Amino acid sequence: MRTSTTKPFVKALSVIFWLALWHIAACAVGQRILLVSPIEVVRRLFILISQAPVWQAALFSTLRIAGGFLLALLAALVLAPLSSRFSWISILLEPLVQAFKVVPVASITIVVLIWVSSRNLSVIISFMMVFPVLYTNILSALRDTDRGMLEMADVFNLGMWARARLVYLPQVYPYLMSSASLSLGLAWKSGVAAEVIGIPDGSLGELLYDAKVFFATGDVFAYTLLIVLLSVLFELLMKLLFRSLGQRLEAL
Amino acid sequence: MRVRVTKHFGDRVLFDGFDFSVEEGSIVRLTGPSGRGKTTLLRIISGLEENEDKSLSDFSGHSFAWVFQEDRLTSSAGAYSNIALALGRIVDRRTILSAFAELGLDEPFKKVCQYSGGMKRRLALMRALLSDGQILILDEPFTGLDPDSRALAEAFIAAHRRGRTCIIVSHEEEGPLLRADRTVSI
Repeated sequence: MRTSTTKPFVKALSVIFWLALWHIAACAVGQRILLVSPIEVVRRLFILISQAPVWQAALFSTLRIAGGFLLALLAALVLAPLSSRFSWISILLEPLVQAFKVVPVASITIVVLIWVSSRNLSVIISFMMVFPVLYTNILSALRDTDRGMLEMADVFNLGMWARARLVYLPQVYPYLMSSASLSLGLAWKSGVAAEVIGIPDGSLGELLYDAKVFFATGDVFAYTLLIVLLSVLFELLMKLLFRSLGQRLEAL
Repeated sequence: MRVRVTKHFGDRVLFDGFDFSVEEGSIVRLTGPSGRGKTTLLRIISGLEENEDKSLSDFSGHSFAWVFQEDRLTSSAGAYSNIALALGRIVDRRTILSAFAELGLDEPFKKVCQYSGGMKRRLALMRALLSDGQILILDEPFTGLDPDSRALAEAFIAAHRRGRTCIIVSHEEEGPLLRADRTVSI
């Protein structure tokens, strides 16, 4: 009881502590080019989001990063069950998944830039970063499926839908929720990093890059805050979507 | 129907040419101390476990309806969904709902995770009895049932057995509705 009432308060206090420390550090440095205060960042954010090009850039990047994430989700939902069923698919995909996991975002971005225009770069990069996480988690969930439930499905000769609903879905759903939540942040981080390297016209990455070139440190922080807010909002939306989807499937 | 069973687990010999037979349409009660291989025998009969002796098995080619020792239900799904999804092709909604009433389960649309142990057991029993498996295998089907629920469960088995061969692992004598034709001790 005591923990549940004090925890949010303690959390808020710790956030306030770090913001205060940041503010004091910014005042002590006294040079906006090196470090801006959190108040200045919020002020800049409000100014920036009142400008149409910033909204357009936010939409441009969100659509592409979300697109990459959703494509990765779709690919993982198709390929993980196939890999679990046919070991040759799993063996075939393994080197690719490992490569996606270990190769740095910067290297992949540069290579992808040689092949495609920078416009859709963040779709490919966020896909490549997210796919291994989702695929690996769904595959492990499927491989850990309760043998007893699989036997039950065989004994009662369950059809594909019944097998998915009664055996696989309860197994995969928690893994999917946690890995999707984890990889959403990854999609944004890698997507924006790719945009900063590729500088596609009208993207948040381009705005961030320009802010850095012109030493507009306040804008760098403000764009970063905007990206974080968009990422949190998108994660919240996805969580709501997954939860409602899960409830609908459970009700079937 | 006969089967000859040989089964080793490492160095341990569980069955060595054990002969097990069941009269078609009869009820056989399987008893014996824990760890003697009652469940393993049933798993071998129904093809869930490999029989090292392939010389004789009249059971192969039959379909089975199991009540496993564990309930093997999906706890996040509704009780009705557990049955309807598993048996939707062969049993209609009215039959399922009437089975719920027969077994004293008056909340068919509640999630299984909200069911008590005894209710889950009756649900697992319902799934097996309503299925079209040719041989019923009931592995300790009355575990966790109070006397009233057990009476309902026995009556349900008697009503829905439809003359099918039934092998029951049970430590206690069943009531008059489910009197075994033969008891096999292993």
